[in-house]
Amino acid sequence: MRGTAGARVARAIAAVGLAAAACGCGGPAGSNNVTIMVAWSGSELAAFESVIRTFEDQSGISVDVEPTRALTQELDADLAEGDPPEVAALPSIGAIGTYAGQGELKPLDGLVDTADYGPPWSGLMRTGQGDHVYAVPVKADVKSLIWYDPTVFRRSGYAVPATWPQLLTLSKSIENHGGSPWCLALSSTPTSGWPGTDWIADILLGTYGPGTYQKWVSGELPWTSGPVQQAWQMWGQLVGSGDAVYGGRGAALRQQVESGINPSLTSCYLAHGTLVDQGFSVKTGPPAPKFGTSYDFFPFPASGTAASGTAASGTAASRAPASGAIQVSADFIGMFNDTPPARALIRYLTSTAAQRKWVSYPGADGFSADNQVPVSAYPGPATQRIATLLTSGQRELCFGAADAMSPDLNAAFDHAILKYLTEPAALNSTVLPELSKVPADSRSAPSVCGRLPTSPAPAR
Amino acid sequence: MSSPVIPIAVSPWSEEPGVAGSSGPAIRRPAAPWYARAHPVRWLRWLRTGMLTLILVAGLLCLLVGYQAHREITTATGHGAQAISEVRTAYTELTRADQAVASSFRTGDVALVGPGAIYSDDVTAASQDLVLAAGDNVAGFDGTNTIQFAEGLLGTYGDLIQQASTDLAGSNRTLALAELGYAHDLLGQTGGLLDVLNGLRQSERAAVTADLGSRWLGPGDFWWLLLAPFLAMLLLAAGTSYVLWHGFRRLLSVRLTSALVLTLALVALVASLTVHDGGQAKAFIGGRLASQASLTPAQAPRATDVSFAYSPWTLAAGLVLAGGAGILAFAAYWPRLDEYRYRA
Repeated sequence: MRGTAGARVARAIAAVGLAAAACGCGGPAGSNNVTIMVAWSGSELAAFESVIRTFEDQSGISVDVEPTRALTQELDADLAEGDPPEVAALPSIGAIGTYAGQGELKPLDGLVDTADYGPPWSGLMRTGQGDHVYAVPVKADVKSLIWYDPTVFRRSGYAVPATWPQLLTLSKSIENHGGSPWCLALSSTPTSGWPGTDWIADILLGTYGPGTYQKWVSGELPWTSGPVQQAWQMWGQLVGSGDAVYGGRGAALRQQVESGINPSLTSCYLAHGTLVDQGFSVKTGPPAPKFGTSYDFFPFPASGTAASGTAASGTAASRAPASGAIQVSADFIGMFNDTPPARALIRYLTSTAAQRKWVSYPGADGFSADNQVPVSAYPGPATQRIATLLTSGQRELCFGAADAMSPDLNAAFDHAILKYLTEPAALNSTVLPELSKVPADSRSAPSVCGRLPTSPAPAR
Repeated sequence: MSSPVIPIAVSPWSEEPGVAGSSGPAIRRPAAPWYARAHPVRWLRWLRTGMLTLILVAGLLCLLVGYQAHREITTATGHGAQAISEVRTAYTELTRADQAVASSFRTGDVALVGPGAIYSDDVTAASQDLVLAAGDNVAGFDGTNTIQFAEGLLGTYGDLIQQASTDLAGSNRTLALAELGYAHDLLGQTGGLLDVLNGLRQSERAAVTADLGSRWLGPGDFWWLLLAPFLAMLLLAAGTSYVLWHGFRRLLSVRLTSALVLTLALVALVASLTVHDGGQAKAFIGGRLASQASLTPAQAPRATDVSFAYSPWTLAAGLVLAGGAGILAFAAYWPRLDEYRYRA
């Protein structure tokens, strides 16, 4: 059909415009990237990156991992600019509560199968506003462990303590023989002092039980109360004397936590904390440390509570069933930007398959809060024994006190540890009263303790 | 007696007449296409409109290229160079502050006067430099986030030093020295504040390099953009010559040719000035980065006069060239169109 030249030109322009719109030239393409901020390094980071590579291969989504030592500060800076990472691994329940309260963390309801998580994890995942899931534990750990060298113990005739008084006696005995019983490292800028907070938490938990522990964490039990004072004094009894800590207390303040036990358990005899903090996996020797020979552990002994069975010299009492609660920790992932790639990443990281891959990575030294991950998934006897403590239901699990407090109180707690170690006499005059002045989180604290069923669901 | 029929020369735009005196109907041939049937006046009007439009397009494109080049250069040589300088200076100030406060603790002066004037002045100056860097940042969101993060770390560093001073004043030397060590770690450890500032400086530098490598400063990337209207004008000029030759036995229009020359001159002027400005900007940046050790951000010059392609003189010259080309192009078609107006 004939038409004017102008009409033909107009039709041609319209056709070009439609073609351009169809090819999407005029608008921005959807992003297939996701950024996750983590505070891991070394073998922990390597294990995580191996899990991420599998996710990238399966999904085609590109993941940008941002490791940082000052995660909270960097995250706060990004949030202030309105440009946070889509996902972040948060080690503190207090921080989760703060971010959820500010509306920065997005709910994860429906994204994760919460049935895979028993107490206390199931309650901690709901920290924040309402009854929404804001963060999911992807990497757990057991803090209530004391490490030692079985060979040294056998040679020295030391017995593994099953109670607090036995631990105190052992510590004094080592000192009397001219040794320094405790390896202690407290330097971890910008949160130096945090290993000491785990000590106080373990002592209070072992002495007074989960009920008093929960009240202390929630702020109901003041810092100046009898139980809290006693916990600090008991720690002081253990590490406060001149030679109790290898290198002296001053050296402990400057000993880097991230470098693991330094020196080894042959110079100082005992170390407190998680497996990954000891750094056995990164030490190559010669000879390389061997579990059961050059290092072993026993759970933090409860005060006055004897474990069933007699602990022979150089063997661990942990094989005997025990009822004492243990302190645990976890890194939780939360979502700051709700995007399809972020949801896909969270769905993957919290899946049982990803958790199994993660914990089985050699040297990862991490554990899963997912009760579908069997103990057999862990490589080696050390991780399997610790996983049993975490998942068997034989012990009540209590989340780390400092990590359950508000960020300000957590920081004050860290500093109080340093002050107490250098000025033990100031405990009741300065240290505890100053802690009392820091306002506790006014929101209702989640329940930080819980016990898994003793018969876990069969692995899928 | 009738005169013989002499066939009339057929013009492409005229219908073929029938043979006079013949008793038969006019010879029917297929209709010529629309462009063959269009009157020369219509063609000339179209060609004139097209020519003027293309001159306008050429002028606007030159303006666009000049403006974009000016923007890239101003960003790089102005804000970008300043941001690099400010971050580098903050780095130097913090290193000096850390050394000063360590010395103050060693000598015991901190118990009397606190961390010391050098420390206080340098930390304050570093903080101010970071604020200035935030304003001059050319590294986008990443740069802004990094500056905020650095400011947070600087605050923590200051708190640790203050805490150390307080503890020393309270006679807890062991804790004070430990906190001094923590502050030093925060500054100097892997991933610490100095590393963050180094990374920030690299980001700003990369952004400046990207700005100076922009397509608006690259001759190969925009020559076709600027020349496209001119080449289209050549086509229209050829079409005009065709119409003039067949209608008026004329081939070249001096005015039209002059309009083409002026348009080409405008394109050449803007393109050459843009390339020149890009080279000048790169030289300026190179000189600034080499001399940063000796200049504070306040001393370093801002290169506001590097860009010529968007200067008032260039804009005026461009207006004259484009305006002149437009007037000449209009005047080139006028006589022929005027002829047909009176014929009608």
